[in-house]
Amino acid sequence: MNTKNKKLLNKNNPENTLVCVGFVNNFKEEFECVGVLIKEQKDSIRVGFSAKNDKLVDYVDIKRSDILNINILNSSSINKL
Amino acid sequence: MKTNEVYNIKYVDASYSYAKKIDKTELSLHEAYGYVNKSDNNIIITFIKKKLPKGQEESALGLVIPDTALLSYKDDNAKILADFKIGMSVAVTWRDIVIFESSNLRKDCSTMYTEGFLFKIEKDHIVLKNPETIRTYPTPIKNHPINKPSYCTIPVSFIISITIIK
Repeated sequence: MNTKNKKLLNKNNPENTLVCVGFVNNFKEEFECVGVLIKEQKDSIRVGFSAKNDKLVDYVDIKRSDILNINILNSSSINKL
Repeated sequence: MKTNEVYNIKYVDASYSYAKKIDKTELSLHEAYGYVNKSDNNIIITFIKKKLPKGQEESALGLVIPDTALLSYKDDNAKILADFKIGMSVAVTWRDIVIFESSNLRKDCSTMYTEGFLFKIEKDHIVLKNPETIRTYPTPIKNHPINKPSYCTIPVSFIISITIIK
């Protein structure tokens, strides 16, 4: 299912929405990232990677037009160290 | 560990303070998501990976943390502080967390050398007052951070060695 333009965040869900996003940069090089979907805007999304005392530290903003695919990850599939 | 599996890790980090006075101190809690690899006693967390030809991949953005930074790590390092007291002038060698990007890929942590006065000795961290820190690995040796802080908090689990400065 193509979810690149679909709204994925549910504000009523207290759990993080974990996503795996495939995308390209301006040179059409392909990348993949995993993290927490922080916000969705009309033209972009923000994926967070790390936090300090629950405050976002590292993240990436991805233009929707650069997104190749988005998959929502089941929290049960996340390993812990 | 498989590199395509996603991990959630919780860990601690060193920190600097520019406050004139500090009272209660504690280690901040960090959390990250990413693809994880282990290299010796380093844990590499890849946030973004670049897709290469023939199905190859490389890290484009991530962190390297000491394996001892994990909250799940059972710290047995506290005994190295047994002979140290508040106010002593000490030199601490410790491993620091690194953030890397594709232009500067890293597989191991930095090594830091800090001199300062022991301001606090807690179960899981020490605080040095008037610290002066240099990064001794990798070269070139650099002052760190650029602006001199008033205090440096170092997790006990990060400490490689600590000695008294005469």
